[in-house]
Amino acid sequence: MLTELLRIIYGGNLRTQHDIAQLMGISPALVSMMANQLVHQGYLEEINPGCSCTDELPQKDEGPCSDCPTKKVCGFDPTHLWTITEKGKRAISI
Amino acid sequence: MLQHKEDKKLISLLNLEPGSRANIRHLEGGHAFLSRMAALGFTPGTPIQVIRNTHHGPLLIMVRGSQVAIGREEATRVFVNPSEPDGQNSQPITVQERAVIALAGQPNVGKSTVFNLLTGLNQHVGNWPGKTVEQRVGECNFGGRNLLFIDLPGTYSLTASSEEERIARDFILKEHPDLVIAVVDAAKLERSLYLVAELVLLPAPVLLALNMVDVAEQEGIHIEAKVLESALGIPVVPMAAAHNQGLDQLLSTANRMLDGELTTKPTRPSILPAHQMILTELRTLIEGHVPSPYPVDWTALKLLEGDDELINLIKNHLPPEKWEKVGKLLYDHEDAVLDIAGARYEWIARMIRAAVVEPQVTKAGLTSRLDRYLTHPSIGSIVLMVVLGIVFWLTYTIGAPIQEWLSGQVDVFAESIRTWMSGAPDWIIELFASGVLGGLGMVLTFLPILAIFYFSLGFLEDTGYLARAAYLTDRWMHMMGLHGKSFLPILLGFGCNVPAVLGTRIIESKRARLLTILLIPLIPCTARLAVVTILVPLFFPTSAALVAWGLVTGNLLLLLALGLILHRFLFANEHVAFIMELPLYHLPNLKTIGLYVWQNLLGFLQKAGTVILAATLVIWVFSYFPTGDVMTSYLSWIGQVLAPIGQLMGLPWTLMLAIITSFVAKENTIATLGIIFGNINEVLPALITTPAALAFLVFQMLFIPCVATVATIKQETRSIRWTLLSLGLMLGLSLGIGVLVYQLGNLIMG
Repeated sequence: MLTELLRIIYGGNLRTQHDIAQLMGISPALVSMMANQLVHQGYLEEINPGCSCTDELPQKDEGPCSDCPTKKVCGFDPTHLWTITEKGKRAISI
Repeated sequence: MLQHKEDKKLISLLNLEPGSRANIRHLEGGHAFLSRMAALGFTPGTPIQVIRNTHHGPLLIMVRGSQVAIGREEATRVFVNPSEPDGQNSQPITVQERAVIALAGQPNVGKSTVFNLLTGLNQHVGNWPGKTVEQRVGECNFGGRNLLFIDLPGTYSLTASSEEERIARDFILKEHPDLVIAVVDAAKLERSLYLVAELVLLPAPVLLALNMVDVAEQEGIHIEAKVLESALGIPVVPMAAAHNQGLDQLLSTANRMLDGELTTKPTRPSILPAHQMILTELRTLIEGHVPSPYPVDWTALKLLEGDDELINLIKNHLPPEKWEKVGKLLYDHEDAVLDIAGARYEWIARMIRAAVVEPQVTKAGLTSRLDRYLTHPSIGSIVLMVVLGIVFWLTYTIGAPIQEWLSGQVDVFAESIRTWMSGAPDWIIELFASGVLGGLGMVLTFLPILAIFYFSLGFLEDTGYLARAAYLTDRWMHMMGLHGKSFLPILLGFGCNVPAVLGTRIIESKRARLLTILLIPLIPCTARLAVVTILVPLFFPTSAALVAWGLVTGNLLLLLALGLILHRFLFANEHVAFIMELPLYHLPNLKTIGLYVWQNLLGFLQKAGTVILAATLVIWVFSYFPTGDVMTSYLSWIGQVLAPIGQLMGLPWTLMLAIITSFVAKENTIATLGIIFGNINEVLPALITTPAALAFLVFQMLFIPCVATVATIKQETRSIRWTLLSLGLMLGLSLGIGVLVYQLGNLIMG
């Protein structure tokens, strides 16, 4: 099931957990759980597109974004965003 | 103290065998230790009996009529005299039939509530031996049996990736509890079941306490407990611990399991046949070398799953030649974890499908239905365009009349200043009346328009719709060829271009990163949008929403066209896939939206009071001196240089100059226009033709970004050449398209 999830993620460009849940016939909550497990195992990585570019997802009022002069007008919303890693690609033999 | 140690009959509690009786003579430790032990009943002179001492895990001691678990380290500091009990201790200590039950569960499933209800005041809190994790042990008597409950730390799984997980699984494996009660949250059953999928693999019978059924029912989730019981192959007891419901049934089911009346045959997650063969091979290799109490099957599975703790353990117990084979198997099948953990998710999905009846209308269901249309490439895009149009329409319909009224008030106030300060030098009067009020005051009259604009954006964000807009933007980018990690910073650019340029750091390829930086200034940031929001109704009062909508759409189309060019030449072979977790739609919260509006307006006011005010004063000085008339001022000298360029777009030098000042901050365009023209609501509409007005707006939308963005581009590219290229590109585009719009407009309108 995790391999199937990796294949589905790789098959598209940007998918939501709702899209994937529908494709796999499971709930979005289960998709999120599996995505977290894949992050833990190194098959997916969580991406931080915010100003800090650190590995951790920043919050606007804490962490590396707290001193940012543009934080009030920054459109960054700490939405979870994952992408497949090289290990993930290898696992599905790409 | 010394005399106790020298007493040959005095030994530490740790050295007593199960069943032994003794008197406590002495405790060694600080005040905190002595107080804690005294609270548990361990005081000098107290008789005790050792119930359990297994050389691993806590000792179970009968003291003052209660069974208390204490850590091994603590036991070494309690000294007892085992040989001759005092007279008062000669009474036999009676022990009922006893069973040890472990309570397992994830955090926040109500496990502590269940534990408290089961044990009442008969509980003790300490630490797990040698750990800093809290250990809670308690007991109760039920059905003629003494039940000792061990509250295991809350864990999401048993993969030994945290101290809590190691404690929980070690306790079950090494202490062999008679029963494990898995407490799960019925309202979030699938999240709780992963742990159960691991518990049923361990050598202890499992009873499922289906807690929070009341909360699940309130949310419309109905769980068929009997069906779940059949599917899982273990007893399931529905309960609502917070309302003290289901406790008796839980205890009686536990007792029946302990009595052997209820037998379990758990359904376990199964793995693919290919990996099943590897598992068998692994099992054969390690059999006879797995230390007690680890079960061989379970150990083989955990090895294949890549469990570091067990890999180290087995490595130390296997002969080198066997370990070499095991190591190779594990290396060759590194990805078996996907199958093993994947099988657990499949197992969970099967259980949920069998036993859970979801409500017809849920937030998640509603979100899925709405997203079918709102994230659809074509329907969703049309909806997004309509939503954007509505935002502009609302902003202008409600905000423009208020702004017009405020603008009149600024004029009245400026005249009042002139009257009050009539005795002062002319330049001071004009500094306040034309400079500060004409510039900064004019900017501030647009606060209502901005408030409505931000309210609309806040509303869309709080309902969860803005995340869909971001998702759709990627769809467009994909259609036009620009995708991959470039889209992330581009999305950020809609808030502010500065973090967007910084955000390009996530792009590994230097070339792709530099080119994404080139694209970012094309994204209309909130400040640029605010200026357009202010300017459009001045020139197009009856079709402001349509024009503003067209400007934003045009900007995005230009961005996509450039993206297509970049893709053709640079990203052709790049494929990056993402998952985005979109929030559920929900009713917006007025307080949250209010905060969003307030934060944005405050940011705007701070900018107005600093950067804009300073720039305003500088511009006023240049517009007033040396003659006191703007048309012959220093500013006009600069303006004359811009005049020939402006003529290509039908724009007087004053408007060109207003746009040039937006380099400091985008809002300065308004301030400059206020200083030069006074009441811009009256002057601007009559100043230029319709094609020139359109060209002016396009020029403003595409003009070079603010100084903060340019500085960030320089910092991130570490290249003056790339920074100049970015400035040149934006200047060329803004001028080129501005001229094109003006010339085409003239052609069409004759």
